[in-house]
Amino acid sequence: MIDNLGNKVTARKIMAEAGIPMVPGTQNLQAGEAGLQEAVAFGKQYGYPIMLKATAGGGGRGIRKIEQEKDLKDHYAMARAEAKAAFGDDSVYLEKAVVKPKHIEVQIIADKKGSTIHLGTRDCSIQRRNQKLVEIAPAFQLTPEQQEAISQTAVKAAKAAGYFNAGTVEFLFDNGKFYFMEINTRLQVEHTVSEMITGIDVVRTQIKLAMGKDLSIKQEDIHLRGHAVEMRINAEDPKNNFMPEGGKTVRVYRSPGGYGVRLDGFCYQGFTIPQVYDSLLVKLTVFGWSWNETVDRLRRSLNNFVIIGPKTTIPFYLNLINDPDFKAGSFDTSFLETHEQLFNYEEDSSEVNKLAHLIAEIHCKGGNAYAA
Amino acid sequence: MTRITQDMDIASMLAALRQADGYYITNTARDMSQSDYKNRILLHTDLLAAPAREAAGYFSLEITGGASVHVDILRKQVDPFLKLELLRQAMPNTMFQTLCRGLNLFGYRPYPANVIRFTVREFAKYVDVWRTFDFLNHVPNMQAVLEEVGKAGKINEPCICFSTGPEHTDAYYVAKVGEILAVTGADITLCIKNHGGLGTPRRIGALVNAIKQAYPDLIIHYHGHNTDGNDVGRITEAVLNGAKIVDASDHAFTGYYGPPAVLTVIQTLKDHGKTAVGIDEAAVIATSDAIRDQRPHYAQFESQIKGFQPTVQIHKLPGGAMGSSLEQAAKGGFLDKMPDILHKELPKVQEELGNFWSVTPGSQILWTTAVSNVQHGRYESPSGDLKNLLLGKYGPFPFYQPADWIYEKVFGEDWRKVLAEQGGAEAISDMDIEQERKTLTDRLGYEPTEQQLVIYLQHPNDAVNFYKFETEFGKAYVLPPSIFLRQGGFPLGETLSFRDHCGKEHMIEVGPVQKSADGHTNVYLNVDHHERVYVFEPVKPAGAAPAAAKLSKEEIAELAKAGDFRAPFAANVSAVSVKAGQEVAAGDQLLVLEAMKMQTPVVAEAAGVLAVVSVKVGQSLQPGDKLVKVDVKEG
Repeated sequence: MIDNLGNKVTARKIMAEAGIPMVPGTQNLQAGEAGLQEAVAFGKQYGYPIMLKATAGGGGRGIRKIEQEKDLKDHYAMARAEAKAAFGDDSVYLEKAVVKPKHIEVQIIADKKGSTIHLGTRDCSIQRRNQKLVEIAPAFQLTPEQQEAISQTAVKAAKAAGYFNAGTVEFLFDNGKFYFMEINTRLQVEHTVSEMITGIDVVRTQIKLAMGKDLSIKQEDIHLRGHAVEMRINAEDPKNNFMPEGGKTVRVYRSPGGYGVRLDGFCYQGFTIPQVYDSLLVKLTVFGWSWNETVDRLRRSLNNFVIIGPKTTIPFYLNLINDPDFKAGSFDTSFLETHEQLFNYEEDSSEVNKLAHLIAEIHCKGGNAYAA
Repeated sequence: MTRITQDMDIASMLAALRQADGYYITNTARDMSQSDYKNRILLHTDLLAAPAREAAGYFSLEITGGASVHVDILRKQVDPFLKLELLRQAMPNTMFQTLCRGLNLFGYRPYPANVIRFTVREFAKYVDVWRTFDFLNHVPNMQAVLEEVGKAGKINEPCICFSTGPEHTDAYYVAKVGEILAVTGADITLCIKNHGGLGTPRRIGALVNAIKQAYPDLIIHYHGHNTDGNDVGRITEAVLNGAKIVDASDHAFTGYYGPPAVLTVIQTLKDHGKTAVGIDEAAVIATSDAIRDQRPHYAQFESQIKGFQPTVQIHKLPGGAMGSSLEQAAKGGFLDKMPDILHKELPKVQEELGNFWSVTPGSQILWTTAVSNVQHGRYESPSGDLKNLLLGKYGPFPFYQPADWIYEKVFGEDWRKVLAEQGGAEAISDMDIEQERKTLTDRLGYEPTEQQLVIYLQHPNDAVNFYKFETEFGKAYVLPPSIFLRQGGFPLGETLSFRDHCGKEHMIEVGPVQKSADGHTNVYLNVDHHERVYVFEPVKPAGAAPAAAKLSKEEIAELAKAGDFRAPFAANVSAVSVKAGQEVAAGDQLLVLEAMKMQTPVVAEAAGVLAVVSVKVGQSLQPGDKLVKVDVKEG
């Protein structure tokens, strides 16, 4: 299965045959100069920008955006070399770039007998460097009809591929149209939001299916209720291009809790951020019956985190959830580039926190060094 | 018989003063803070006192100037301009008064004329009465300030500094008043600045009388200190002889070296048939009632020696310097030598150095010289400022020049040559203020305001530190002394409440303190019902760095000859004039050390190339610490 769908070109071929809407694209480009000529022709036919993608890539890696024909030659050579180095396979293909789309995906679950259900949509548009930061279920800015259409298409795509177990079908959504992107043949980080709005334990279900059991739930048993948002609490400095804070030690760790707050993580006081792995400390997933309630709960949860040592994405998220466009659900994959003000925050910036810091220092040192 | 308010024009104000049958009072809160609390009374306390002080009807409130501008940013972490702005909001009718050291502004050494004018212009936006003095009574040293105050339409109050001794005659002072009036014209108030609280009541009465005989229309403002406990006597004689304004402050805070209590002055003069014009006695009492409970929080800054000091008539230290001098003695471990220093050496040094007025910066020069004379031998280690005084950099000696042997001791055998070549007041060239603005912008990372620039021009490093403090810790003036000056930490569970600069009320509950194995300290606070943790790096235990081997004075001098410069005494680095790799000639200034507010340059003894600079500006040094190393050129 991963063989079929992990290879993006094979996946596209299967989907095209099943009538799934897709962004115009190519098969694997031919090797050498012939491949480059294919690319030039594609650009002429569909217009720029176009995306040059590593066939074996994933997670946002191995993707290059090409703005004009004269850049194609250099990118083409480099993309092949990189793909070979990173994935051991230098195959690349092309897609027309959909400018400023929403990233919408559908959680699906299928058993070996082919019964396939979906757990509704997720909006994962808020990304940095093509990697997701914030995920929302359901994608509530879409009309119910659009949500239904995209979910059904996902099920159809999974069936077409003969897909088994939990997976994600990813789409680009632009102006009411959606295009199939890929099927992720694994449990994704953001599965928590789908769990929160359906009540289905995706991991448990996945293990049961892997043991050969049949799916015990039917589509009509699935009810989507409320809203869920996941925010990835990363040890990163958003102001410095989200540079990971590897090597720093978490001196203090206190986490939020209470109704509608879920934490998936392993962070603890004394934990040192590894230099070589992901900078994700903990996933904060919040549930609420209305969107406003959910955002309020996010604010409370973010404020109740105390993480001292590394810089984190928390102050950035606090800024994000107060953004009028975010509150209105009006965002696409270009959100961070078009909302630079989100990066204008100070760590612990309120006047009272500054004064409290001084009071803590007076307390710690047994006197005020600035008045001595 | 009317109260004088801030909105009156100068002419009607002066007319009211001249016609008054009684006298007016200036509340010298700043001088009280400086003399009896090492300048630490916080804006928080002054704001508590503000409504009652406003109602009390003073001629003016002396609330800025002297050393307070520097201490505001250095130890109180309050913006000197914001302080005036907030007090003005709370006290719309009361005039604000400053004490300006002429050429030396609010600092300790002369500033360029354009800096003086810029500073006066900015402060004059808030300050109505400008008391200006020069410690040598050298009128040209006050000229730039007097002119700018005049231009700003504020009240000029030039001073004659007062002292005692054979030279300090009525004739001398009356002539000095004439010299001042020739510069300012008659529309001033003249201050008799008795910063030491010297002389008897009779002496002060005679002086006021002598001046009034010569200049009957001149408004005299008597300023004294209560160091010997007898200033109410001097004030009484001053008023009975025609002084129209006198200085005192609130009895809840009066101590030993500052002003006497307003209420005592009023009660005493009432019995002489003299009324305190515009004063509401009930409001005077209410002021002290409003701030009395704050005084215990300042106890740590009160004098090391309790009680009045009638021996001030011998040592003549100004009230404003008593507290800091005793503090230095306590910190320096020579409190036991104080009787020798104060009662024997200091009077001797006074006389030897020309019997000028012991007030800033002259008082610091006299004091440090006396201390150094007792500790290191007479005139054995002269400070840079003493040298400048002897060279006449501050102005001419008023009565006589010190004896030749002092010059010889300080400058060596060739002292006549040194005096001929370097003597006399130097014209200080204007500073490139725009260049300084750029430097400050770089250091702060943002464009400074005019006010920030003014403070920076006077105290560059301390100003930058203060503005960085504000960025990090906010506007800390909102904290009461019970928090800001707390010693020994807060008990677990104590609730601290205050109102921030924007007027928002906050509550902080003190939580536990936790030490981690690697030495970090976590302080838990409940801030407005949110738990917060503040982590502090381990403090390096004192003595962790290998202590520098004690070097004798001779060894330090020997090392310097070989190019290895060591700190000759405990000091802070106030400037580094050279960079590693630079060529230096004999006599070039390498860096400047500052101790007890006095600066001492370190100069190259021989030509060479600078190999290492081991210190940076602001660093504090112990005797023997490495400063710079010069590879001395052979031959």
